[in-house]
Parts: sequence; C-alpha cells; structure tokens
Amino acid sequence: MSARRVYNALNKGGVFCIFKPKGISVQHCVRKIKFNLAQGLNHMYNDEPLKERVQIDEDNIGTDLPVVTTVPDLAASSLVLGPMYQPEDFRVHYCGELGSFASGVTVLGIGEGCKLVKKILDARYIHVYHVKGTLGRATDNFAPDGHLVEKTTWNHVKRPTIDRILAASQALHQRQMFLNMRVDPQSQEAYDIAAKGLIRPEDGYTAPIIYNMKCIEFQPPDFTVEVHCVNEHSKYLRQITHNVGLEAKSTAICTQIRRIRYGHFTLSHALLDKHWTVEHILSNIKHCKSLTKRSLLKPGPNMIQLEHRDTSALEPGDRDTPSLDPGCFDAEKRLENVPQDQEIIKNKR
Amino acid sequence: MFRYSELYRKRKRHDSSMASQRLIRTSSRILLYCQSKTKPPCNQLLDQYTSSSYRYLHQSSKLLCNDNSKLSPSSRSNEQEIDYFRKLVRDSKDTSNNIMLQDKQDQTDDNPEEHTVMSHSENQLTTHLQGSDDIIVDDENQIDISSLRPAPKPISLNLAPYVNNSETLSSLVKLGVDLSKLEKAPDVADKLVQKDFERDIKPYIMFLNDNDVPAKKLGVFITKNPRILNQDLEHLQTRINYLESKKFTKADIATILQKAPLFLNFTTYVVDRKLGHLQKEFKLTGAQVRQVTTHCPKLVTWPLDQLKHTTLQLSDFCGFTGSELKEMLLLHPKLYLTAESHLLERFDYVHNTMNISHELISKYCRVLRTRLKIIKSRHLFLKSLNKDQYDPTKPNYISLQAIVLPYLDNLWCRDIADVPVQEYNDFLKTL
Repeated sequence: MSARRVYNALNKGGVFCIFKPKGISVQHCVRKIKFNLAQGLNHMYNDEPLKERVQIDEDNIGTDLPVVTTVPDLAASSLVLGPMYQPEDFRVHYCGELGSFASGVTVLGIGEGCKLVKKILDARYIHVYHVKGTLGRATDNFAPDGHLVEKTTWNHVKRPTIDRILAASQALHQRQMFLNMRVDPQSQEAYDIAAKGLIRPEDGYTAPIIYNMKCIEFQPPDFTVEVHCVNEHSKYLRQITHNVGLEAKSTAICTQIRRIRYGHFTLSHALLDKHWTVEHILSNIKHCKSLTKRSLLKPGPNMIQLEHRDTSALEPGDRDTPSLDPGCFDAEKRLENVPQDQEIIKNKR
Repeated sequence: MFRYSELYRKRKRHDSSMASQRLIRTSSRILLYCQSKTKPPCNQLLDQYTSSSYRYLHQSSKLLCNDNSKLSPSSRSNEQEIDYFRKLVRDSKDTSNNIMLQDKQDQTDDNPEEHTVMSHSENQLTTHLQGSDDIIVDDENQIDISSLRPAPKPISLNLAPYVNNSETLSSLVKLGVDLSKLEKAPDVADKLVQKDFERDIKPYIMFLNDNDVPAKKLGVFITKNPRILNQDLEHLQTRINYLESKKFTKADIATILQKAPLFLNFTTYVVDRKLGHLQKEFKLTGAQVRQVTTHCPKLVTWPLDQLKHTTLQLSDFCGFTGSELKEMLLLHPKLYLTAESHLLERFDYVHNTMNISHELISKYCRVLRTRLKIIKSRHLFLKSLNKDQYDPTKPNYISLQAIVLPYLDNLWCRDIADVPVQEYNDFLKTL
C-alpha cells in the first residue's frame, strides 16, 4: 500500500481506543501518536510520481540537440522540502481527560472520526475504574508522592467495614440522582423513571455521579474498589479513597487509578503504547467501528436534557432498533468484564 | 482534512514577501555596522551576505545611481557610504511594501529591471525603469509604485527556490544532503549558497573519500556536519595526522568519522585534552583509550563538563567505585552520554527496588541505558510469574542482561519469560 492511500484511509478516519500508560498526559499520547503516524508514512513506499520541470537550453538553438527538455525537479524532493508528512497533518481528538496519575482506556478520534468524539461525550457513557488504595497514611494530594500529613493504624479495618462505607456512599449518590431530577425517591414516579433505565446528568460539567461502588479485593493494608461513574475526574477518585480511609477511622492514600471500561470500549479493544503504529491503529479503527453505530450513540431514555433533542437527524432505520443502554451495568455485562480483570490481577499477584 | 505540510511546502517555494522583510533586516545590519565601525568597507561586508541578497542590492544600487553620477559604490568616503546605505534601506522598505502588495498578482510577466525607483542623494529625482513611462514622482520624494512588480525571489527563507538554478545545491542534493535540515542554521545556509561546488566543496569530498568515508555516507556526513565545509583543509589534515600520531589505524579513523562527523571540527588541542582526561580520570592504557574512542567517538565531541558531571553522578550519587566506573566505560561507553536524571532514576529503581548490587549493575551496565518503563514492566511481569531471581548463585537465575534485551516483546516472552506474548500484553494493561 502506498503512503498516499494509507493517509487517505487515516483521513477518512474513525474512532480508536488506546491504553494510556501511567505518568504521561492524554495530550502527550496524542502528540506521540501523531509523530508515529507521520514517521510511519514517511518510511512507507511512496508511489507519487517524481515531479518534473521544463528546461529550455538556449545554447542548443540551431543544432540538432533538443531545446526543450524535461528534467527532474530537485526543488520538490524531500531532501529539500523536508519529509512529506508532518505530525500537524493528522487531526486527533480525545474523549475526556484522564489525569497523568491515572492509566487506562481512552477513546480517540482521528480524521473524520473527530466528529464522533463529541457524540460519544454527549452519550454520557459510564466509566468503570479500578481504584487502589493503601491504609495507614494520608498525604496532601491523596497520592503517594504528596507531602505526608498523617500516619494511622489500620489493623482494626476489616473488609465488612469498607463494604459498608462504600454501600452507604453509593446509596447517597443514587438518592441524589432522583433529587437532581426533582423527583421524590419514595414515589411511584421515581419507580417509573428507574424502570426505564439509568438516570444521567445533563452535561459534562455537573458534579460526579457514582452508580456503583464495591470492594473487589482486600489485602490489608491494600484494597481495590471498582467504581462505575459519570462526570468524574481523577482527583475526585483519589478523594474517594481518602474518604473511605477517614470513614474507617483510619487514613488512606490512592496508589493506582485504572479505567477498565469507557462505555462499550473495554481493555480488550485498547492499544498498548508499543502498538501505536499505522497498521495497528488502522486495524483498531476497523475493530471499533461496530461500537460507534448510531444506535449506540443515541442518548439513553433518562438523560435529563438530551431527551428533548430532535432525533430525526438519526437514520430512519436506526430509530426502530431498541436503544442499547451503553452505560447500563446490567449483571451480564459486569460478569463479562470483571472475571477477566480479576484473572489478570491474580496473575500479577 | 487540511494538510498543513502541503501548504507549508507550497509557501516554501513561493515565498517572496517575507524574504524582502529579511532583506531589510540584513541591510539595516549593514547600516548599523557602517555607523559603528567604518571598517571593513561596506562592499566587502555585502559580500559576506548571501550572494542573492548581494545581487539584489547591487542591482538596486546600479539603478539608484545616475549614469553621470559620481556615486558608484566603490569610490566614495565613509560618510557618503552611510548615506548611501541608509537610502538603500529606506528604499528597500518601499520595495518590500510593494512586493507584499503585489504578491497575489500574476508574476509571470516580471521584468527584473522594473522594480526599483530611487531618489538621488542630491535631491535629483530620477526614474530608471525600462519600458514604463507611467511612473509618477512628485516633488516630495513620493513615488507612485502601483505599476511596479516584485523581484523574482531576491532572498528566500529557505534554499528550495535556488536548488534548480544553483549547481552547488543540486549537486549536494544528488549526494544525499538533506538541505531541509541544513537551512535551519541560517549561517550555514548563507555560506552554502555562496560556495562553488568545484572550487569549494569538491576538495572536502575528496578529503573524506581519502579517509575512507564511503560515498553512501557522504550525504549523511555533510547533513550532520555542514560546518566542515568552512574549515581549512590543512587544519583537517593536521587533525587526521594527530590521530595517526596517536596510533589510530586508518580503519579506526574511518569509523570515528562515520560515527561522529563532528569529530574533525575540534582542534587538536581540544581533542588532546579530552583524550587526556579520559586516560587520567579512568586510568586507561593507551590501547584502551583508542578502543573507547573508536567504539564511541561521541565521548570526545561531548562537552567535557557534562562528561565530568555524569562521572560524578555515577561515583558520588550512585556509589560506584573507580574500577567499576572503568569497567563500565570499557563495556558500554555510551552510558556516559546518558542524561543524568534518567541515569539516577534507573539506578534508583534497579538498585533499591530490584535489590541488585553494584557489582552486577556494573557488569550488566546496559540496564542503565534502557528506558525505565521497559525495566519496570519486565521486572514486574517476572515478579508476577515468580521468576524475579537475579542472584547468579541460586537456581532459576535470570540475568540482568536478559531483562533489557532489545528484543521485540514476543521474542522476549518466548525466550526469557517462557509465556505467550498475549499474557504479557494483558499484564501491561493492569499497570
């Protein structure tokens, strides 16, 4: 395949999904990907014909030698003008921030796929995190690298304590969701809304909402919490760990944040940083195409503001298909994902 | 998607409005110089700037002076010269405005002599335009410039417009020199344009050829070290002779030149000082100095302060003894070119987290040249498999060298970790 054809394919673009490593920002990842793409295309076979220019040899007038000749245009060669593809030639947008402390699934759009990024953000997919904490210490930024504020004992903390704290916090958030919709949580109306599906916030700027929290691993002083949420940011997740520590009459810091799911995009789709190359990205775009169908990007039933939106823009065929609730953490989906990750954790231990 | 690079490439070839801006800067610099120091004469100074700019200025100066005028550039006093150049600058400003105004117009019907309208120093207003009678000059030096056309690229910000016309540049391109990299250093580009290939460049190519630099690598050599063309050939030969006097073989010298093209830019005094430093600091024998220099000639072109600093980091902060430092230098001299921050954090991880002694690290010092990310992920993976046994006296020993093999991950997993690569990839997603 020639570089031009590959470039056009990338330009047509789509959505792909990467595993952002810990320690670098999403912007840095984007920069790295653009650089890799430009470099990959420059090293590829280039089938564009060599440019030629017309040269007029005035000395040859009157002789048999040709007067008008074409010679290769050296000024157009890449040794003079620099490499054919530059990192700025690629448009890459990302879906939402993931702080440099955190790692995990991040969705990126390339080329025409950048338009889908906005739609994915509007669909308010649920994000699933594994947040790891360690009891016994408190720092000023809730992370291990902050200034140490306090040291405490943690021997009294048992697994039921943490479960209780997480359940209470989750219940508070669920109640808050109904209050945000201005509905009494104990009413029939609230039941009807809940039966329809998940309640989502209206935009990306409201307070974080947690849909589910549970402790999946407890090896004191370390513990791991699985968090399903929307509108969160990495500092908020670190704060959760801190609060759990305080509620358990101890202190805790957050040692790892890992996003294992972004709506339909899971760890199995994500590209590791060694695979951020042209061919892997192209195959990943193909792989992720089924996840950005219009039916999957349609707003869910209970999205406070988006439900008023005109849905006529969507394709007529799609309107009849039942709306799959992407963020819905039904039991099946969770069972699909969690055992995989637990296996991996087991391997690691 | 809009391609910025394409736009950039187009602009590179048709860039004249910005070029004239640069002309103003250049000529103002000449003017300032003339005002501060009257030597050297302005004409010589002009020669130092790009030939094209010279051509342009010269052309305008010819147009400026009346046929009967005594003000030819070669015969006048300093004050007159200053006046002359001040005018030149002002006038080139006028022309540059004109160029910018007319940039979008069709440039095909350019007549190069139809550009400049200047006023005489003795308030004698003259127009020197061939074939254009509609230029109006009023009494207050205001000139109607609406019918003027831009010059055909008097100066450019890059070398691309000159390549097809200049034999020097086109020969260099055919050699494989990357002009797009050279032009980033303006002094290099300016001097390169003035050179004649046969006279100024060929001797250097012959010289490099005599010293066994292969023809394929000449382009890379000149791309990396274009300033060698400004050096004196005799000096270069002296530097080669110096190396020969230090018993470097011819093959050694060829390797040094290919690995570090900058090597010849340093005087024998500097090279001698640096080789002396290596020998004294690490207590090397003569043969060892030659071995290290041939293996990694960048140690000589590297700043001496930086080299000393890295040695200090390794000895005082990391705690390596003198013999270990020497061992590491002989084994892997590139280690001394590592950035200190990277060096320290890698050492910290390997020594304090992986609990590996100084002896082992100095034996397998390549680990300090490997990215921390790779060391970390491979160590943690081996740890998860319970294979992190780095003690050579115990069974199931995995050497430190094996961790940092520059293998592809699938080969590494097959040979060292003995698991399918998919398992390693899944593990990486848990970090």
